[in-house]
Amino acid sequence: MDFLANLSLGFSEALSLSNIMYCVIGVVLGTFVGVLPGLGSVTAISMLLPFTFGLDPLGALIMLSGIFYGGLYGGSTASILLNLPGTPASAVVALDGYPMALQGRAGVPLFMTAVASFFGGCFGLLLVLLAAPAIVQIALEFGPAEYFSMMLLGLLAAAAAATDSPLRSYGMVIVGLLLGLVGTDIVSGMMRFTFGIPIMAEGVSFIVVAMALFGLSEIIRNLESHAKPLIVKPLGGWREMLPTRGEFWRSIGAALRGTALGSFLGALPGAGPTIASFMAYTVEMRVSKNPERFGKGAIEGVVAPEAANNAAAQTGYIPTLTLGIPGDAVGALILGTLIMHGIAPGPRVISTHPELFWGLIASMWIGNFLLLWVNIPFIGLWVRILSIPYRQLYPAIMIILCIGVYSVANSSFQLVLLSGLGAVGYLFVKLDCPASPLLLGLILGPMMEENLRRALLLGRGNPLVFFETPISAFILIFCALLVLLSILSSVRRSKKGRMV
Amino acid sequence: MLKMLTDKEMLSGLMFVLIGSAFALGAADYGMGTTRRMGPGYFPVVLGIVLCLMGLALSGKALWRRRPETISRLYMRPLLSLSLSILAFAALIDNVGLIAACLACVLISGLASAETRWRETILIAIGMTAFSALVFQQFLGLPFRLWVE
Repeated sequence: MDFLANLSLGFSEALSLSNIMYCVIGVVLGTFVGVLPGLGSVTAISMLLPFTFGLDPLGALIMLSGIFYGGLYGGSTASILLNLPGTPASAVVALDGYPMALQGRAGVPLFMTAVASFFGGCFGLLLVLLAAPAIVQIALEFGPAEYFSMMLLGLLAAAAAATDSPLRSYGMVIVGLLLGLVGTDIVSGMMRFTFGIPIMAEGVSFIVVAMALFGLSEIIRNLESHAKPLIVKPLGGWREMLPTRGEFWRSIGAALRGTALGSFLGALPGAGPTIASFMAYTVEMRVSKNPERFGKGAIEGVVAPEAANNAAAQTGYIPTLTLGIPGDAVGALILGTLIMHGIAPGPRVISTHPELFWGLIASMWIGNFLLLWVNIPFIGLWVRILSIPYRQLYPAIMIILCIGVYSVANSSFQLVLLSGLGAVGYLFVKLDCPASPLLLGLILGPMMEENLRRALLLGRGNPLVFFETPISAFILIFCALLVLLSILSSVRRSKKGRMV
Repeated sequence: MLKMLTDKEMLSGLMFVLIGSAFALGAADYGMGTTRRMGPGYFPVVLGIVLCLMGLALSGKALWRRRPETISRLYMRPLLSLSLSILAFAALIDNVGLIAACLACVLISGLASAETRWRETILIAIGMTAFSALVFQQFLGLPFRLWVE
């Protein structure tokens, strides 16, 4: 009965007028940025974060989460119509969605992605509801050693998922951890790396870093190439959105497989929606009796990845909200938002702020339902937005970036930091160094140091303390295996590259 | 050999060495403490050294590979004009106010693209300034001064 009581608490929170409004604003904005090529959910969330300072924590989380899953829906629209993925997670949908659009059947994949997303998202949420309280029970027993090991695993897994080059991503994690140490040391009160600038005592704001690496440097990169005029295929009426009977039956199996795979992958640290959608596509090709249809407009190739990435987006909240360990850059931003609103992340969040956890889950349910209605009838409108040229868009984005960064601390120093970090971020892009491991390191850095110090203090300085409890030892062995595996696979890949 | 210096992996490695050593050296005076009671310098020094080693490994790997993968061109025009537009915003927001800062930011950022049509950009500048003043200052109540007296 506890479960139902919690759920009704959640819905009563989420159904308040202001929270519904935040949810609507979030999903509509999310769809908007998802549709626009070259503006991902991470960029959008970091750009809008400063404007949620004034809201209560639940309102802020509802809106930012809405942008996230709304962006996934919108991203597939651009993929199908233009072969230009709006977000990385929707890249796979273009493989079969775009050929269908070329055949004049764009309405079918657009309709089916909306339905598949809804299905995957709802199932993912159900899993969060069931799994989160159980995980919290275990996590409440965690001491500093377990926390340190968990964070290490989260960082390593996220880094391993980010690129083919493990050394680069591990390096970026450490750069992030080091940046996270800037500011006042919580144990000794000493100022570290502040160069005597008073505002640096509070550390490098993760918002400024996120905006520099995911906003500014992305804009610079987008301005490199000359934009081609976009040609959008016209859409038919309602009737043309419906799949054929054969496609419908094939879609059901695909949606189920995609959802199951996505829910599982999303809950693991490091494997977010993007990986889930790629894996789901591969599975569909293996399962199919006639795989030669893929790439030419197979409905399963649209439905399964879309169900998978939305399921993964929702189950990704499990590690973030129960353990305080984000699985990807979006999780890191959500965690940062919690910290900024004065809520210490970890297993106690659900018991100390039940309205926050259950309210967020309920609102995501409402949001997924809303998206179905935002997407299908307004596809025409989203298509028109797709044709806004980038030269008109980026100056507007610049203003929002500047105002957002300034309002982090009402200080123009943050803007100087933004322009510096933006240039560094552009260099990172050029060097193929992934930015999301850095962001994760930055947010987890201070917590990791604190837990490391505490664990070693309790263990009287003996590093074996990390192997004294079975959970921590198991996680650390898993970390070692992960590192070994990623290095081995990169060596094998480079050998293969040499032979060609 | 000189061409190896423009290799992406080589440069990433060198960058890590630079960042790692800067943090490790900077933290050297902070007090290491012992493993049991770590001082504020312990974690940054250790991380800095690990980063240096990883950088060296990366550069070494690039040398061993001997097939340079040259870094693609850095486009200075968008980089510099967007940085300039942010700095202009920073300079104007406290001293002159939101209106001047927004106008300057949009107009300077127009320099970043060869495709900019100035009439359009001027309209965007005016529109975005009005939007920011209305939404951010009036509606959301962010503490900006529109124009300093």
